Amino acid sequence: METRRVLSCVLCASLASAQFAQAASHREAPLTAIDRTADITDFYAFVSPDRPDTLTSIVCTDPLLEPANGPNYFPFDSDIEYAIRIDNDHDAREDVTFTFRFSTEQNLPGVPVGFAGAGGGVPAPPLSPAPIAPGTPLIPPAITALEGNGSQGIGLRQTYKVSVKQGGSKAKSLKRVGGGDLIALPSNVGPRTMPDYASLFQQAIFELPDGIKVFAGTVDDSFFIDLGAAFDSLNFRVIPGPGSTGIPLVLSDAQDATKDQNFLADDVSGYNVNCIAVQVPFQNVLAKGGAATSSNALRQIGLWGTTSRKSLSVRVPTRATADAGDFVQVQRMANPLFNELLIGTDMKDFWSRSRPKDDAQFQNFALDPLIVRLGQAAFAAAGVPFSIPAPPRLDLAPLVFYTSGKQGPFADLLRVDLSVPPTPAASASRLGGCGGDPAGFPNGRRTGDDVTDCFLRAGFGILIPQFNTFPFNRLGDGVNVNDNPIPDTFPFMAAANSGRNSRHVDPGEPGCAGATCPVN
Amino acid sequence: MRFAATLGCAACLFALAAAAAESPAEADLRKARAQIEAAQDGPARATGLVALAQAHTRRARESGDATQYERSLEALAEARRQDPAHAGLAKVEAWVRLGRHEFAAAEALARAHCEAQPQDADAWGLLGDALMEQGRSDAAADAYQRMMDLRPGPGAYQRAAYWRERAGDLDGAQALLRRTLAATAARDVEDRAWILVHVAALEERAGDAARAEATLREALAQFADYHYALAALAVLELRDGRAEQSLATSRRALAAAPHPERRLVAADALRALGREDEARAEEDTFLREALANQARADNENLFLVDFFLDRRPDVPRALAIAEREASRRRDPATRERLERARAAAEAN
Repeated sequence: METRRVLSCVLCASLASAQFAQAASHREAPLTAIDRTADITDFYAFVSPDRPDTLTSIVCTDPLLEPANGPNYFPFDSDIEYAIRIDNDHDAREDVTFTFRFSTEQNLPGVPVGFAGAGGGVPAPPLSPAPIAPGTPLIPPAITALEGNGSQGIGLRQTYKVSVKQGGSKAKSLKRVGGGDLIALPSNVGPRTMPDYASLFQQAIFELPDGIKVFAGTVDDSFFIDLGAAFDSLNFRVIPGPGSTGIPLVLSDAQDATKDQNFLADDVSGYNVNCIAVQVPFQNVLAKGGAATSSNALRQIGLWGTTSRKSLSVRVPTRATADAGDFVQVQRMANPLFNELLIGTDMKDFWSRSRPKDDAQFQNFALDPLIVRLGQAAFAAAGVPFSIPAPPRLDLAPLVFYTSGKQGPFADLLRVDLSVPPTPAASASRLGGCGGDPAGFPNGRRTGDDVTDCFLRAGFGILIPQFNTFPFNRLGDGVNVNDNPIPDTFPFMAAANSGRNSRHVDPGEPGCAGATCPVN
Repeated sequence: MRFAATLGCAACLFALAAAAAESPAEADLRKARAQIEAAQDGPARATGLVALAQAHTRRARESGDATQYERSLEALAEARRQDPAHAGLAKVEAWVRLGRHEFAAAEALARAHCEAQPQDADAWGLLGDALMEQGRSDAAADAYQRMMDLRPGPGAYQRAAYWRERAGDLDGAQALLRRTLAATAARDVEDRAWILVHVAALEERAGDAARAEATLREALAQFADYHYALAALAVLELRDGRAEQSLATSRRALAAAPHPERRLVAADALRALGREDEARAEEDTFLREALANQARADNENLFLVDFFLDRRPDVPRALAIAEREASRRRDPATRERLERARAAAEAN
């Protein structure tokens, strides 16, 4: 009997092995095609209010990060080359490129979470059973620093390298002033693990040579929008509150003038995102010898962000063939919502992989936006017929052409006129250029600009005087401001929402902003 | 320093949290239905229906419920009525046909889509998948490389990993799967779990069962009661002499997704525990269920071949099933079964 059982088990082990392999090789059509870590959510560029002789540019990736989603939270992808590219001579080709590459260390192997810490640390108690002796450190001290003492609880530590390439010269690595690593700020796990997250946030701002500053880390997503309504085939809501017009997507004057309160839920509230910010003196980004003055025909520069991955060999590499090829661009972004709302679904992926200098092939998407026609149709179906500007929509030229000096080829670039000084926060319009503020979108894009409302209004023609009328000049989604206040100093982004103590504002809840928000 | 002991149960909490939440596919289904409801007849409705088909296919993998594929095809049929020229129709149907193991049909659809839209990286991946399952690995490598060169990323990495695994480059395959995992968002928990199950399979093949088990537990922490992870874990536990544990894990795998072949591991665990009658009863149930599925594209025929070669020897029957299956697909596992059955027939 015993012999039989042993034989059976030998047999079953071999069959079990087959089943393990079968389970593993049974590959339904894989669905992991969505490259979220390379997905650029937003791109910003503006003259820095805290240092008006510098440009701040920010590229954000990996959308809608739920702050509580441990255990490793949201590291940057070390296989990706993140880049901010700048055209300074109006040909839609990069003249200055900042690239960022990340490395990841596991400092707490065996610990199932990426970040751990409490108070001064927690030892094993006196009754701790073997093999862990009483007094053995079990939980490290709370994380109060990104390096050195107070950083022991950072199990998943990311450092990064920055390089800059100007013109045809070789890329130059930019080292931290004073030495040491550039460290990415991890997400805000919660108050027990990270009791002073604001301090960690400040520690993640580093000085580089030539007056350049850099920041990389997980932050609150600065974008604000009624996302659900926008993507539900423009199923926008009537905006409640003072003087409501009763018309979906149309704000009253009072609502329109409000820049510190939301009337509908910000669907991005309470979510985090990974961002890289760099602040660079003008002389490092302008064409050689140029100045940020109105007399310089090249005072306007064009920027975009990209993410790239190396193409790898599918076949087993040999001595004659390399395992990895060149970096291949997988995503790009300049103007907000350009890909999402203008480029046709079947072309989005191709557009993401192409370069601005070749954008003429997408010209019709921008100069005859289907989304505007859909909006017209939706309103007509609801008994509100109106006219829209006829194509080609040259009124949208600031999005796709330079407006000073040589206009350059059609290209999706975020263009910034460096001769325009920043508008003080108190007098800045949330609508940027659509609200008469020359320092806001589409002259660059600040983190607080309500690009959704500006995009809507510009799309329906308010840059043409005859269309700058009600209701077009009051279009808006009812979400006027970010849920967390945006600081007025570099990196101009709010700290990440707490994993333990944050929440999202949902449709049906009252809108909110800043201190009135039920967040944290 | 040692922090593991106190924090170990954190994984249990994550598993509980994952179980309570809506799965990624369920969220996709909800969004697609809302999109359809809001859309008028025509292209917009077709887009919603194509999204619904994709979501059902994703749910099929999450749940092991093959009827989800039927719903995918129904959604695609309606999408075709709404917009016969919709760009996503052929690609998504290729995806569904792969899930149903209708590889020749999947190849034809994917190839047609690649010809129409050669810049679509995903379609080259689907074409490669269909070719791999039909044993045309060289052509599959070309298709996968095309996908990689167009858009490197998780989709291309994990296909390259599969190809390398089949070519015997286990280290390369593991490295590629780890890259895939790094590129997959934290919230795509089922995708992450699926990748981890495949990493564990490679670790097991490399002889590191302990590491494989740890990886499977990581998969279960990501996606609670993930049936692929449970099934593989039951095998490892049994092989490690933990028959009681293996039996419980097998039962959990069966409850999560009632794939008949999982009864065989349960039977082996029962036999190891000396419960021979129950083991035979479990095998009988497997036999009944697998025979009922024989004619379906997604079936247990390879396990039936093994069954008739090893457990209840009936070599002619094993050979007949293996030959029938090999006429439909030429992947390495099918070819290996056919060779075994032929060898057994010759030995007889």
